Amino acid sequence: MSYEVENAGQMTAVHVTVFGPLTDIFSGNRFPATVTLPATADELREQLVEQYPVLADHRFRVAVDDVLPASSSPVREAAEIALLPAFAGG
Amino acid sequence: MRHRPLLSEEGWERLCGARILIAGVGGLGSHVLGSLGRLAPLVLELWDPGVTDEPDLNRQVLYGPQDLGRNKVETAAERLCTQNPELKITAFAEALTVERFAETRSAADAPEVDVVFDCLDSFSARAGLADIQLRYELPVFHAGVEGWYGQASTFLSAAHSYEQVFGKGFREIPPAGKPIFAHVVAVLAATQVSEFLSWCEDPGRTPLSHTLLLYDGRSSTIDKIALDNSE
Repeated sequence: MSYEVENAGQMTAVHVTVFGPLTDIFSGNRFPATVTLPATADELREQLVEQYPVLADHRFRVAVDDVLPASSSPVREAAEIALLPAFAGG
Repeated sequence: MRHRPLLSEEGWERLCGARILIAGVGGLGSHVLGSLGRLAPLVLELWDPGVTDEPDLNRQVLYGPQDLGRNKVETAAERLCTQNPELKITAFAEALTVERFAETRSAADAPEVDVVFDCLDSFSARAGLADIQLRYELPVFHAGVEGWYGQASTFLSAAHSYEQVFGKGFREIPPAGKPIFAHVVAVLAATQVSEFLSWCEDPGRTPLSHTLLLYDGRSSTIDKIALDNSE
């Protein structure tokens, strides 16, 4: 996964990597977002859903630096962010 | 058996002694069973309430047009016993819930299975399996698929389960709304069986016991994400 971070005070412009069906929504495996960091993984998820309401319809977790953190874990600045969808089908 | 030299003596004994529950015998389940049925004279317990429907035939390799309308677990048991008469199969043509699982045991505190393959096709069904894992502390080899994509992981304890990773309470997508490719299902089912064989060698840890594998069949890529156990 790759990332780009551009600090602008507390607000940070990031590129978020997505997997699976989320790539169809964003027509690719990355999309831009502006988030306030540091934040917990849950707070970061809420920020992304607020900017991209279509995400609210999908089951996913936020991964940071190739790790799926506990939902209350802090996400540091310049973190690598990815959204992992859950697949229901069998 | 030709694959026998690939396992240690201990691993082979654990394989041959394993009592295996297959939760769901649709796409993932039929691919998993196709492999397990040729591994050893296994003890298999199949759970699935479904009957074979025409849209299933694109990926559910144990079934054909002649099976339309039949219970999947009964058809699967017949096919597997033809393939390997030494298999010992029990089939339940119903949904797997913690209540029904407990009722079908001879003793309330004995699961009478050693491992579970999560081949289910909905979030709600996986919630039922999570209840069983929580109560009986069974290892679960998980996979889920959708379209071109899939995921797999191995949950060796209830503290590290599907719900721990993805949380509870998600909107269900109707099965008819979930197009799936057979080859994607095959990749994830093969991963589940690989994890089971790793468990036979070392029940304490497998390659995916703390890792989520993500498969993208559109780009033929595999990514791995470590799972944080701090929650």
